Parts: sequence; structure tokens; C-alpha cells
Amino acid sequence: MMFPLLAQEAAKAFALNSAGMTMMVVSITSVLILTFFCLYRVMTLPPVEIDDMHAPQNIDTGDTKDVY
Amino acid sequence: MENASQVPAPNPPSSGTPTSRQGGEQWGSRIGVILAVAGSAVGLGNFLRFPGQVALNGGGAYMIPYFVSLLILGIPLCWAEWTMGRFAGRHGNNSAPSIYHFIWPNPISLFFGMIGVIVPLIIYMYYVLIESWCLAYALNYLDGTMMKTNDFGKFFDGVTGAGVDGYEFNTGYVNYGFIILFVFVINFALIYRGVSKGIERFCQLAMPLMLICGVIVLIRVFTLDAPVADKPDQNLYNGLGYMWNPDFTALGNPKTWLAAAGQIFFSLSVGFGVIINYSSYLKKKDEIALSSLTACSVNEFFEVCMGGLITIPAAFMFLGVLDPTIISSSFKVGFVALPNVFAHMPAGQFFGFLWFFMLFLAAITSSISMLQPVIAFLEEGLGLKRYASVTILGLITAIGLAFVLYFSKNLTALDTLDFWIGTFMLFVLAMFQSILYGWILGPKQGEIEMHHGAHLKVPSFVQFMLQYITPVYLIVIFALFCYWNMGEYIHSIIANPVSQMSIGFIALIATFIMILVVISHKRWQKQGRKSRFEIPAES
Repeated sequence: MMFPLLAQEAAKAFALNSAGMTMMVVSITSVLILTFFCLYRVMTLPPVEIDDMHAPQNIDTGDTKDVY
Repeated sequence: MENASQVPAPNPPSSGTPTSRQGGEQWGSRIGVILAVAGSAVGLGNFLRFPGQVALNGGGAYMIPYFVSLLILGIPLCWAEWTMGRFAGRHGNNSAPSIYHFIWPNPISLFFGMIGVIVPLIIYMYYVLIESWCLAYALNYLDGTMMKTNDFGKFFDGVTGAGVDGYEFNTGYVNYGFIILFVFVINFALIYRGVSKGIERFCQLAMPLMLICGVIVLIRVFTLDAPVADKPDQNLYNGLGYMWNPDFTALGNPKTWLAAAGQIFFSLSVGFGVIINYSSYLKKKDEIALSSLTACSVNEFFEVCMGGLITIPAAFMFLGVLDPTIISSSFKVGFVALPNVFAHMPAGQFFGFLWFFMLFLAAITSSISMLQPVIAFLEEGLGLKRYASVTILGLITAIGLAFVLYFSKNLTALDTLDFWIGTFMLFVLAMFQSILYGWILGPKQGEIEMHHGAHLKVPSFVQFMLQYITPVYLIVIFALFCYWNMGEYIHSIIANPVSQMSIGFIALIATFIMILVVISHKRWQKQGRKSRFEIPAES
């Protein structure tokens, strides 16, 4: 399939400018900081108390007893 | 570390009701439920729809309404869904009808409960097809077929049958039929194993694998420079500029704000009936405030950091400035433009396989999440065992899949179901859930529930937002959405017989599920199931 393209010269007009760089860096950095902060907090939470542990110790799904 | 001890004392667990958590399904680990929810949210929209939306709506400027929507719509609604799901779930309610009715014992809540079942059910019927396209493309890269193809538009029509109705049934495209069957069966095999052994274990494997595939393709794109020898301007630097250079005048256009809010809304799977079902398998002490935020952030990572850096810059580098009609269609970007890119990329066969395999993983972690709310309803409402509920659901979804597969011309059936169920009803359900939390459960009760076992203090103004700002914001977006889009689809119903049949099919499924909801409600009444107003006060 021939792809519909606009004039190749238009490609020059899209050089990443400082505003674009700023938006990209700020967006990606914000998401990365939030993601790593959350994952770090989750990974460093105190271990689950033994009576709160779910699987495989006390899981009883009931309706899946016939599962292989 | 902030703790939930700062919020009012929690209520004690209820006892003596037939809705106790004992014996129900539960998650195996914290990270397991987070990855399952994130897996549900991360889908093709993260990699194909989001970059197109950015490029079409002001480039980097689009990220301003995008993050505003994330903060006042996406994250608060996710917190509300997790809270309502766990609250109702620890009293034995796992399906949308029973969860809504537990929080608001009113017949209207049963009607919205029906919507909470048909939304994931009908979306699954066509989503599994899109999922099978991804696997078909990945396998065609693996055996080299894609590298011998010149016309990717024709190839897409061949796989999807977009040229003529009943294509898959008439042409003996046997291999693709096997792929659809395989994808369909693998979804049910995973769901059959249950929440912990099926969904959770699969997502713990699939999400890291998806990350690895995405990072490898990202590195490939970022090390290409100017891949087309006689077109030095089609380089990475300009490709990123094409995607990210901001046009701040777009912020004055309401369509930019609608596009951003819609992207956040659909990307996070809010109003899907999935989060509320997944969180119903949590215990009272299980963390939800931080878990919900983490699932949102993982989804944003795949959307902004992967989708935002791979798809459009790569397409620009190989194909130049794309026609807006291409960028606005996720299918054209994903299944026509990107294969063109991989065809010209060094080692394109390998990277093409990785890309479509990643899309397949993203799709399957979403599709299994669509089955679980329906399974939960069949088991909870009708008292079915797992094999029976899976069999019935398999039959219903097979009929729906056959309908979408047969009426493949111009993908009309898929498009109609996607608009009325995957978009319109999603808005309706999200608005209902927003009002259910903000005005029926109430922000005070909501804040208490949200902070049981929490390791993150959700600021109090979030409750204010959930009561006032989020519902109003949602209603405004919905009104604008209807104003700009409804006319076209209503005209399509009048003019196109396939659209009419699709609407009839939706009505048929909705009626069937509504009957089941009424039967279930009578069973729950006989069992003496109580609403939140009737359970003993918790100390």
C-alpha cells in the first residue's frame, strides 16, 4: 500500500524545539517519578501478617475445586 | 509513612450475614492485584490511541488537559471504585448488581448493575477479535510472511475481513480461524483457574514481559537516527518534534479537553465494571489507596513513556508526515502504518514480532479482566460452579464473537458495539459510579472505607472533588461527547442494517442479563442478603 504522505520538506518543520523538549521531559519525568515512588512504597510495605495472608495458605475458592 | 490511623475509626467486620468473605476468591499478593488492575487498564489504546491523540490535539500542549483530567477524573474515580468494591466485597458482594445494590438498595441500582455486566461482556466479544489480530500479526512476523507483504492495507483487510461480510467464514482462512479459537480458549482457560491462580499469576508474568518487549522496541527506535537514506530530515529529533512540539492555541479548543479527558477515562478502565469487581476480592485490611495509585501510575508509564515515544516518532522516521486520517485511527496506525515501519527497519521482522506480541499481551491482560465480572455475576447470582459459569459465558461470548466476525465489512458491527457499549455506556456507568460514591455512599463514609489499612493518606479535598467536581466534569464531557458524536451514529442506525442488527443484539443481551439480575436479586433476598444499612454496626 502506498502511504499518503505530505511533502517531505514538511519534515524539516518539526525539529524538536525547546518547548517540545520541555513538555516531553516534564511529562515523562513526572510519570516516571510517580511510578517509581508508588512501586517503591508498595515493595517496602511491611510484610502481611500471617493471618492476613491469602494464598496459597488459606485460599479457598470453593467454586474452583474442580480445576486441574 | 502516613497511616490510616489518622482517619476516623473503622467499622468492625460484620458477622452473621450470609455475605461473609469466607470461602470467596481472594488475591494472593499486593503486587498481584496491582498488576492485574494495571494489566486490565493497559491495552492497545496506550500504544496506538494515545500517541495519535497527542499528535492531533496540540502536541505537547495536549499533556496539560491530559494531566488535569488524570488528577481530577482518573485517579479519584479509581480510588472511588476500589473503595466501593472492597467495601461491598468484604460483605460477600462481588458482581456489579450486588455491589451497587449493597451500597444503594434501590431497583435502579439493579438496572445499573445490569449495565455493569453487559459492558465488559459485550466489549469482550469484539476485543478478543482485536486481540487475535495482534497474535496473527506477531505470528506472521515470526514466520516471515509480513516481510514479504507489500500492501499492508490489503493484509489488514484480509485478516479482519473488512472488505466483505462473512469473509472469515467463506474464504477458508483456516489459520486465522485457529488463532481466533486459540485466543478465545486461552482467555477462558485463564479465567477458569480463578482470580489468584489464573488472572493474578498470568499478569505477574505478562506485565514484566510486556515491559521488556516495549523497552527493546524503544531502544531500537531511539538508535535509528535517520533510517531512510535520502530523507535525512526524517530523523528521531524531528519525529519527537512532530509528536511533542506544543501548539498552545489548541488549549482554547474544547475538543482538545474532551479528547484528553476521554483518553484518561478509557485508558484507566474507569466505569468498566472491572476495578470494582477486582477490588471486591480484597480484605478489609488490604491496602487500596496506594495500590490504586500504583495501578494508575503503571498504566501511565506504558501510555506516556512507551506509547508516547515509540509509535508516532517511529512512523514519522520511516513514513514522513502522516495524514491526519491515519493518525486518528488506532487500527490504521497499529495495523497498517507500523507494519510499514517494520518492513523498512533493520531486523524489522524481529522487532515487528516483539511489538505485536507486546500488543497481544496488553490485550489479553485486558480481555481476561472483562470476563471476571461476568463470571462473578453468574456464580454469585445464580449459584453456579466455576465449570458451569465458564461454559455459559463461553457460549454467550462465542455467539457475540460470531456476530462481530460475520458482519466484518467495514468493521461496522465492531464499530457500533464499540461506540454504544465501549464508549457511551462506559460514560453512563462511570457517571453512575461517581454519583454512587459521592452522593449515596457519601464522602465521609467513603473516606473511612478508603483508609482502612491504607499506607497512603488520600488528601481530604479528593472527597470534595469526588462529590462535586468529578461528577460535573464527567457530565460536561458526556454532554459534549454526545453533541459531537451521537448524530453520526444515530444516522448510521437509520441507514445501515448491520448497525440496526448490532443495536438489536445489544438489546437482546441487555434483556437477557436484566432477567438474570432480577432472578439473582430474588435469590439474594431469599438468602437474607443485607444492604449496608442493615449490617451490624462495626466498632
